[in-house]
Amino acid sequence: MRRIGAFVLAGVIATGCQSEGDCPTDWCGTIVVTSGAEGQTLFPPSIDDEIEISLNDLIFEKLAEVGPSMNTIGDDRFIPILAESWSYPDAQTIRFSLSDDARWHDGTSVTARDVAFTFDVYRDPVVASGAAARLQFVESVTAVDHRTVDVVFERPYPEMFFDAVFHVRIIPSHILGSVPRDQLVAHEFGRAPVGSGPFRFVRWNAAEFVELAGDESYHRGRPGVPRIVWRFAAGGQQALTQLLAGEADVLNPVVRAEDKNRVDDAPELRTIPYAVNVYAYVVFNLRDSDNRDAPHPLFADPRLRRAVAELVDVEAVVRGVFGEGALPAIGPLTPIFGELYESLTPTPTLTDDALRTLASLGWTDSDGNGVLDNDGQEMAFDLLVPSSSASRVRSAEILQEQLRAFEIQVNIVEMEFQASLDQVRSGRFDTFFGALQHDPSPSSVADAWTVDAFDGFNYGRYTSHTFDSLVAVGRTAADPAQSRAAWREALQTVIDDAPALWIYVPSVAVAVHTRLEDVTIRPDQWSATMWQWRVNPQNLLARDLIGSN
Amino acid sequence: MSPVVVRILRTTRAQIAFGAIAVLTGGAVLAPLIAPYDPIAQLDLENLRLAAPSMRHWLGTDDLSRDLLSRIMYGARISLAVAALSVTLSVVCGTAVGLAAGLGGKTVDALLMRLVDTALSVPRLILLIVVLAFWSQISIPLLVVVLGLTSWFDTSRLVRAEVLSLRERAFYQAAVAAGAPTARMVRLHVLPNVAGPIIVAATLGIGQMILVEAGLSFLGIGIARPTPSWGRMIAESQEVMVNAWWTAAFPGCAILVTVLAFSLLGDSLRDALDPRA
Amino acid sequence: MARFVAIRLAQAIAIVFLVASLTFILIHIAPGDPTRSLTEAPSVPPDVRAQLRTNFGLDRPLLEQYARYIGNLATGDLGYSFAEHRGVGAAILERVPNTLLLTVAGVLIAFGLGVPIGALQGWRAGSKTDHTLTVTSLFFYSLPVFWLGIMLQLGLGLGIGILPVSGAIDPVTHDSLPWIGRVWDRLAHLLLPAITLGLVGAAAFARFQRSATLDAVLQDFVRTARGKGLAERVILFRHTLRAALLPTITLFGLTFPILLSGAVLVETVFSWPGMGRLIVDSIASRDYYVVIGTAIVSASMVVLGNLLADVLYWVADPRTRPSA
Repeated sequence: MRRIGAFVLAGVIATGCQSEGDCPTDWCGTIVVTSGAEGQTLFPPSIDDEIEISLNDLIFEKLAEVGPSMNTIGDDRFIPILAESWSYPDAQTIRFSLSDDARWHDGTSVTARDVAFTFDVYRDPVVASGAAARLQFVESVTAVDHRTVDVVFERPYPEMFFDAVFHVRIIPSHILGSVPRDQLVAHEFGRAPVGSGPFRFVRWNAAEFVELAGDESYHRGRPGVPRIVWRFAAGGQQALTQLLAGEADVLNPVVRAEDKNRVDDAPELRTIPYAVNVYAYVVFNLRDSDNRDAPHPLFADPRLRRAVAELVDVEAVVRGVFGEGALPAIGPLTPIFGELYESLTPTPTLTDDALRTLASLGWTDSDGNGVLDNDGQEMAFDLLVPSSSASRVRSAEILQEQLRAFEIQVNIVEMEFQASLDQVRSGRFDTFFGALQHDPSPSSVADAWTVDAFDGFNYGRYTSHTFDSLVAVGRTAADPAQSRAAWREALQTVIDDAPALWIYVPSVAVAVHTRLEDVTIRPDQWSATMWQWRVNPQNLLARDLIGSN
Repeated sequence: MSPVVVRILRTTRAQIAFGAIAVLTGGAVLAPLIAPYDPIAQLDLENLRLAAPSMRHWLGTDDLSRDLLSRIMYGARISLAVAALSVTLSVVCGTAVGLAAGLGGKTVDALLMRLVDTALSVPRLILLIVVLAFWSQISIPLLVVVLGLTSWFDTSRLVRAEVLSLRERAFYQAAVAAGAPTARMVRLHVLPNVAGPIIVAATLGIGQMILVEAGLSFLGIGIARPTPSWGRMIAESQEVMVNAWWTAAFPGCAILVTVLAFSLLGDSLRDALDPRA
Repeated sequence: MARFVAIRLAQAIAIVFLVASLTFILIHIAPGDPTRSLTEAPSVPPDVRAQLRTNFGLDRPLLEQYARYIGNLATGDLGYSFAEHRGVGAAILERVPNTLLLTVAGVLIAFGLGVPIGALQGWRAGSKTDHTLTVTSLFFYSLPVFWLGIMLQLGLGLGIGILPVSGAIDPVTHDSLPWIGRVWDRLAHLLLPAITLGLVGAAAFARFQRSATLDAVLQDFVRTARGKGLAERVILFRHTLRAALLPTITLFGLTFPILLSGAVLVETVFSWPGMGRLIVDSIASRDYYVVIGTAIVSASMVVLGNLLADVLYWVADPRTRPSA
């Protein structure tokens, strides 16, 4: 009987029709997520992109998580996850007590030893984890007993707790403890992980999908659905087509207005807009692209940078690319910073002033070739854009056209994302169209523009001692008000010095099928609550009735 | 006019093909004079994004409010020039290598032909992607050179075969024994024999070259922005084609018509040069 | 004949070896570095990247890396994929069956459509049917294959909604279906990409088959047969087609490189989990050994296709068989 049922079902699905049905148990449904790229590894210390992070959050657990208020200072409103509670034996030590019921998906208990091992791996230079920098002030991590672990810092500081929990997903020492450190990154665990989170890893078919099964005995409660399938399409458009064809339920992000309209026009789909903590910007290289010790012939001069910033009509760029759907960026941060964001003064568009400034600096089109020049130097530069980002490529084309009107020549150089980063990190660029997602903390934002970040996010080597000392105050000030004031002043300094053109903060949406319930989005990580999303039992598709493996 | 050309021009298909190519080439050459707009000018991002075809914009506009007709006309310059130049380069290379292999002795021949075998065993598009990995920005001359240097293999085989068969012939051996210079023998006896097939292959090759350029653009390996090329226009239209069919349809038609015209012409040439027909 | 096959096989291996070597050199001297996919986070200090390069032997002289690679290759080890964090063999093996399925289906469609159409055209050369079919096949021959794919995807997949638009299987239902359901699931997913690839191929087959048939029609034995007053159908099937199929059989093996090129594009349009996408991605991320591995596999497919073409030819026409 079951076989026949399944066969009929097969016919129904194969012909694309969808039939409703009732859930035989109280736990039904599969959420199919799609994305236009594929993750490379699920090994927590090595992950860095959106897809890998989302999948990691379903499979693994952090000790605790930032709450919906996005506070990162102290431990106020953090949500316990793997740690049931925590205390402070002294000012620089956090003592975590692990949940009794936490289990690895192979049945073994999660212990303090796993936590100590995890911190050790994250901080090991051979593993080369991107999160290691956040853990640089950790002095030691020791298991006190089976369920208790001490994280000791060199000295106490405001975001100490945040650093201890935000990036660290606990990994099993009983599986990875015996693997030599230099082989961890390449270990098969990265493609077949064992975690302790709400979903158990089932399989990964390369270039197709990852399948996860809900862990009914998960210690924080049963996940919303018994199964999640995460598909990897060949590109953003292909992912959208997949969603519109009913072959997927969730797509993130939907960025362009045209795409949002198409999703909203589909009766069984809806979009949920949310603020993201991402800003796109065009960073100026303040150093010569052939010789890092020499100043850049154009952009070393802050007056010239500021003039270019005043020439660009960012609003027009944003409307041209996104329609109503995005905000012009005002600086290296996004509206999720609330008051801090509101208190900053953006660079205005002042065409005439800017042109006067350029003229006073000696820039005129003396040879009549349509490009400004000054002492034999032409106002022409390369704009490096990662080809994978359609929004940035589009914005670059509008910028190019805007500046062409002022006789400034922009050559767009499109490059594969990794290759462009390579180029930028080695300093061989004039300007680079980047996008940054920082941790939701002001120090994380500011870090990108300090002298210490020359080998980090400060690609253009912006150097300001005023800024650096303000950041130092913000990071260490004991008085929160003093700290906040310092952050504000620091960020205003960066904005006024124009080490970059601030372009846009995308207003992103998640597209979801209307039969999904309890869908909430957290700005720093859209998929943070996905483990609790449910399928409305009154509104099942045929494929929701198929049990998980 | 030579009788061959007359014979070709007598068929309807050839007339259609010639007509289409003439219109395309004319549009391409005269684009700066007759194109209604600057192909890279973003006319009005507020009001003219994705404007449907109208009297002011015959083929509509793209998502940066650029006039599609102007872009297609300028795109024709790029697509046709790239295709024609790279085919020329490939014919020259193929002939040179074929002659070298045929006349250069056993070792040279073996070396060159193994190289050709090797190159032919890698699918063309894949070979191109590997080779183009060397450059972060692709200029038109670069694309011409790379396309030309990766497509001469078949021509070289053809020429080599012709040279080898010539060398078997008694009159050639007698002439060489009498001290006739090789260059003269090649000019008199090899080139005329291979010219027909090479011209046919080159004509068909122009069409295929346009398709290859389109495929590369689709994969994101195309000529630098904002230069309009047909392949890139189609690739970019993907995101908006459901709402704005014209962005995909017209560049697609431009490619279709051009490739079709060169294929028809190639076929007509083959029939005309084929003594059986 | 066995000896000739053996010699040809040896030549094939030599060619594949050359392809591997040339690809090795090309991709290694191209700018870029595979370790960057392991160290995407900008906070990774330069010495850590240097450490990674050492871990993977990328700091050794090129010649030494080459020697080691060839040594490993001889033992069947295709190296390590930096992007996928696993062996290249495993990464490729997961994709090859999908690409083979797609290309073979494409060839079958191309052959099944193209040969009858071409034969009909050749047989009725100069007729109205011939002209119509010539233009039709030229039409498909002149279309960018990815454009055709997108149109079919939007029209038949998204528009009418009868066929899936992406992937090789339905990831949710596939495993719970009975065998016949699984077969249908695969077939339904295969249909659009295979038709895309097949239509373009069919145009090429038809063009070729038309001229082959035309050649045969003009040959003496057909004239003789007509002179004898044999039924047209008999002449067509017994004499003409048999002679005309021979050259087309050769084409069967020779279409592999064209179809593989097409597969790169079609796999991207339909998110087909095949080798074509792997090739494009691996070149972009400088995943050295995957690039070389996929080059080896596709070159093998091509030279084996050539060999197959020869053997088929010998089987079909014993006169062309090389004598020992």
